[in-house]
Amino acid sequence: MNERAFQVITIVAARKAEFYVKTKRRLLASLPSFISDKEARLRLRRAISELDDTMFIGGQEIASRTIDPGLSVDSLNLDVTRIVDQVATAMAAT
Amino acid sequence: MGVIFCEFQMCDSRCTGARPGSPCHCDCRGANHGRGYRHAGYAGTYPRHPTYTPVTDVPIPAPQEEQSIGAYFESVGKAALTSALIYGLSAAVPPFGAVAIPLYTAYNYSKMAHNIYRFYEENRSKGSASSGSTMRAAGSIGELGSQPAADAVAKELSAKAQQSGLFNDMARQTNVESIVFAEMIRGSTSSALSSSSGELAKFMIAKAIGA
Repeated sequence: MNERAFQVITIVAARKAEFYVKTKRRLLASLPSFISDKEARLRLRRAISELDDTMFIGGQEIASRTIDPGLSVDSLNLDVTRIVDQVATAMAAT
Repeated sequence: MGVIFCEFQMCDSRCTGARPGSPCHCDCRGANHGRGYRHAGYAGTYPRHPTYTPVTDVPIPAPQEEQSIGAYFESVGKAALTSALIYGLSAAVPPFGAVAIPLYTAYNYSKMAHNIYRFYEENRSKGSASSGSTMRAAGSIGELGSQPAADAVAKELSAKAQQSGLFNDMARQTNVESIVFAEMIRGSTSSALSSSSGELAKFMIAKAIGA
């Protein structure tokens, strides 16, 4: 892998981190008392980290082959259904 | 612990102080009922009715199995999870930390990527010299096709980057723990090594506005 690939990896990882931070607070506020906050956080973090990198590259970025490092996830027009399905499946795993 | 029910309760002031004529439910079988404690005549225990058998074998209810976290998110928790995930992808007003991440990334992605790449190259050269290393001398992108191999390399790389303090400044500036970035770097590196790394390198990086 060359340095350009790692630049893309870094940007994608930062987007995953942003997604995690935004999701975590909302999720933890809705958990019942018998579910451990810590375990939920760890599961969510692992599930998001293992998503494919291409899922965090916007449609317009894929078309233009150009990634903007300063864009936040809500402005990327990502495939929400696919991301939600994969994270939900990972969270439900025993 | 099981609960044993007795058909007749011990005779006490509830019986002696009861309204005369009201039903008696205790051992005295009415001998003391409503007579007041000073005049209670019965002080022992009548023989049990021949058909009375004290209940001793009460089945102990099985402890209620707590729902596992996986089962929770598969069932009743799925709606809350879905809602949180959709919010995470679409929130226009995110919590502090999430706001700062894209801004930090815009100015610092290049430096972070350069350092992570340096660790990758160092490990790769060690791997080619040592047969025990998990890193193989992969000349082209995507040679580490198996997920376990990619995971092992990514984990090693991420741990090294975190130990060197590479994510500390980002953690400080964004108020997000460095372990979060370390884990996302691990996952993204693993994904790139096992599948799409060839595609990633074809992307140009746009100059962020104001950077």
